[in-house]
Amino acid sequence: MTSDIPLTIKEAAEALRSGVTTSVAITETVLARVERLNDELGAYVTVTKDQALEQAAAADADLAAGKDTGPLQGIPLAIKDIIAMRGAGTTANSRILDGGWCPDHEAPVAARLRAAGSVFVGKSTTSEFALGLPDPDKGFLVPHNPWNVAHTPAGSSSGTGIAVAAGLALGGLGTDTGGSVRGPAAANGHTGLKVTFGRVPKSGVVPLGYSLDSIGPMARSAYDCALMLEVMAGYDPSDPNAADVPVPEYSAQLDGDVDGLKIALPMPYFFDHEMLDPQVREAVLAAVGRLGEMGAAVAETSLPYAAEAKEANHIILVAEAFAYHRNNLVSRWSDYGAFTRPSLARGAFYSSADVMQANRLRTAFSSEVAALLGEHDVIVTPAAVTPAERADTMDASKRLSQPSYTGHWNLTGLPAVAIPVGLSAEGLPMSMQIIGKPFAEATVLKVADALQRVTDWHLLVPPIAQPAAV
Amino acid sequence: MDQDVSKARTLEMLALAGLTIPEDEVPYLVEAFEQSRFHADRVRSMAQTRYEEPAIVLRVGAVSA
Repeated sequence: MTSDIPLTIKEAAEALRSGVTTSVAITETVLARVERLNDELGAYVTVTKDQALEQAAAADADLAAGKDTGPLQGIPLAIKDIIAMRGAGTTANSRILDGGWCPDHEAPVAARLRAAGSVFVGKSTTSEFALGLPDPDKGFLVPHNPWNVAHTPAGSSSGTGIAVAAGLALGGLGTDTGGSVRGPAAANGHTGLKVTFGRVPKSGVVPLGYSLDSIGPMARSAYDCALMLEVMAGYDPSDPNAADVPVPEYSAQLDGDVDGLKIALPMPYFFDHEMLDPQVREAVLAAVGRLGEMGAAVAETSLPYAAEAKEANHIILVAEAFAYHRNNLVSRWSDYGAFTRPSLARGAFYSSADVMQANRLRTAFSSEVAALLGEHDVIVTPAAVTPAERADTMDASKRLSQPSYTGHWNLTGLPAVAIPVGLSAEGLPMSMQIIGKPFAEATVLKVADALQRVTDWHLLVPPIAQPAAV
Repeated sequence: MDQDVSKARTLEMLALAGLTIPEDEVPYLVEAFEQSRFHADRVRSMAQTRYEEPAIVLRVGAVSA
């Protein structure tokens, strides 16, 4: 037995409507698991048990009365603790916010999930301000990978990543500025979607990089991410960057058909880099091979400026983050975590000309990507260079000297989904990334879903979270 | 870059930004400064091979990526 509750949102929604279970029963099981595992895994900063049980009871009552608000009704979700949620102050895992940012406010994305009848289990752990590495001296639980607690769950949406993998929620919200949804999805072995810039309003979220930030769904399957995005997406005037673009019924487009779909594999940098783990490369290419067997047309190609684009994303990110944090860094340096403050201070090292050059490179790279996507439907790359690293070897400088495959799509604003494609020899998840055209979330989710129809990597439950273990 | 020069420039840039750093944290920031020069030089040298203007536009109400 690998789970005592439905593994996916889709299954849970069906079970709730067939009377097999109730939202209260699912939520109580989730809360009991949180009680047992949270100290060890560090998934949640705040558990909103009372609110969750009230929401679950209301969802059950509404369903019983014939009021159906859609597939998220009664589903336990984790809300990253950088997103304002009514009833729980936002900490961003930082002493700087003193635990009380916007306790009575709710971000539009959270309000939409609430209105859809979701159950909020709590505020999930984030890297401090979505940037730093954990600092155990600041009083927050340190997040651990449920597949091996000596390894990182990656960040910055660490808590939601852990929660989905370990059954401490059936889905949740992450934010992504350089890979913070896709990294934890990759490290913890499930699905995470970085949406097109502007697709989901990001007001009510503590900013990291104004021109790069996005809020994305994290869940076991691409189908579940589609269900969440249908609720999350859409214009809101409170975000000046929100796109006024119609929201399609994403889940209806996931039909498993990839026949004739054109996939580009940019080999230099993304597949041929010497620091890419051969196991990851092999697993991603094997998954692409499955898509080829299903009728997709796969072409090896190249994408100019890939290495420089990674640096450009970093320069813009730290410049924008430094603009936001500078005053607090001046007056409260030591209140920031030991790994966060030097990361933010990097913004002081870039001149205005450096940032402008990074934006010029951004345009050049975007043109190259647009040309590639003019000939192909999606681009596929590994989501991460290696399976999750050991936590005690993590170092920000080391990470910046390695290739990264996620920030490129924040730089270009494109949708990108990370999905698991196997376990390494060490038993850690490996992940593939599918990138699409602007607002083509349906396409990247369709490819991901097609692969998940013929594989079960996204359904694996780490031993620590299996009922027999807890 | 010479280590002393690197350290001096690091502290100068931090001071210009208004930041005073504890002495034991300076070595890491010197390393970060040197890494930032590498990143910026790499981006600049490549950006200058192209003629793109940065796509910075006033976004009024909506944006398409």
